[in-house]
Amino acid sequence: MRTTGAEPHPAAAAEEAQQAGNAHVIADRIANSISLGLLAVGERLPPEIELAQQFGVAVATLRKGLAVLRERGIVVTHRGRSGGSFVVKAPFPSDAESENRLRSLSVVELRDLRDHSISVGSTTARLAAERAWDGALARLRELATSVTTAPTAATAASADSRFHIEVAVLAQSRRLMNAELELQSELTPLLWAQSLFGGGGARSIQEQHLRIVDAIASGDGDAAARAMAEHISADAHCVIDAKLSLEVTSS
Amino acid sequence: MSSSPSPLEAAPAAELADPLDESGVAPPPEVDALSRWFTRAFADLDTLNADFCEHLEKASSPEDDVVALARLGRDGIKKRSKRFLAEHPAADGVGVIFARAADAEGRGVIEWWERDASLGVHRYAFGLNPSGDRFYDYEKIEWFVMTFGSGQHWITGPYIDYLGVDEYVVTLTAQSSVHGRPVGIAGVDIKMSDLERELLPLLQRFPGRAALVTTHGSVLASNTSSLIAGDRVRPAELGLKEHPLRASGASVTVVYE
Repeated sequence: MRTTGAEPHPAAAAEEAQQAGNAHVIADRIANSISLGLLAVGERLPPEIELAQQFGVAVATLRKGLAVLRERGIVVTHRGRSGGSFVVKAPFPSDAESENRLRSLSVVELRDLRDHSISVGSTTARLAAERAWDGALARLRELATSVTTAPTAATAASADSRFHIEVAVLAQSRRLMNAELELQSELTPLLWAQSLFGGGGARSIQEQHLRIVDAIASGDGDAAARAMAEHISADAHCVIDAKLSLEVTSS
Repeated sequence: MSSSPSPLEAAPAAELADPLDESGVAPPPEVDALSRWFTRAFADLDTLNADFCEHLEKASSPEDDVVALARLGRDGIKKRSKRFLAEHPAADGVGVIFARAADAEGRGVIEWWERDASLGVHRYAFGLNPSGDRFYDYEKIEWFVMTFGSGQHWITGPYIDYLGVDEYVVTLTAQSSVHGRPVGIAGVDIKMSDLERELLPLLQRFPGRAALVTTHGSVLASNTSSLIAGDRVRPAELGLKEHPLRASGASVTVVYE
């Protein structure tokens, strides 16, 4: 795990964790590292012994902490060949966390995130249009509409990400899928935390998703790529607007 | 990984799968070799499945639900899977995927064994809780839909098994029945890169372009950059000869110049 100066002093933190003697403290600290971007989605956590040392707890306590994260769907643990614990989802940020994150990112950085997302997203849509067979599209259509039935911002964000990941799955490229997993964990929480939930945003996202599905279903790679690019652009602009309005209210 | 152009199992297959194509003309020997590869692959799956079913039947009684069946059969399935993976270097994982019980909140039940770096096997843990965030909703996947109930052999893929083993694979499936009723399906995963290593030597025997295409028109493997694995094609529009490998039980067609 990478560490930064912004983190609490390791010894002090270790002592605190030890005193609490609680797997949840460890789970929260690891989750926090993910929220802060110190650990990215798709990354493998360091070996248990190393992590336990880092947090100054017994390996048994750390294991319980990992079990808590598994329950929350934040990490998965595989044994064997490609074994280890992997980050599969960034914890959904609180309003304060996402506000801080938006303040810390410049518009230029958000634009760059948009550019990268469009590049990966539109290619996955194009390839999905070329490679997916009709039977696989029922599932995609189902996922396209699940953003409007999700009961909370966190579940809507998950549903939104899941749709984009499914497009990448249908593109049949593991590299693009891994890139999409990482991009989704960056952009989507910001979108749902700040801009949309409760407004008419979910419906408009659903409409855009369905346009993408229609283009993929028609086998028109250009149209699918275009629909995806427009959709990601709209998403990113919501986030940039949210960032700009934060700056207005704080000045 | 085996570099020999052998089918999943090294022993030569005696059966000639598709003696005649639709025009009544005997296919060239290159097509026969591919046909034998798939025939052998499914024959090996059938043998594996029969052993799984026999073991499950001995380990359980007819009243047991799939949860109990999987638990009682685990050791035997592991042992047989380990042997299969040792004998079939191209196979990546094997096991039994059970139909979800109607009761008990319909938790998924899978006994799946994956190859290890150290010649061992390990059980693969899937997300099997339907209300979980990473639920592996396998009853909606093509291999389950096409094989369970119908009992037919099926080749699914190529596909990225997201939330499953997360690899780019094809899956060969057959139905498993225990105490006289279908309980699930037995499957073999082959990574696309390994399938390519197996089939490329056979495809390169063709004098011109040749490819294997699934029922959905997805290319499984070919000897040309004009048809790459994952591409979707309409075989009829390629202007190539077509030979379906029906007798092998594989839903695959050879197209060749």
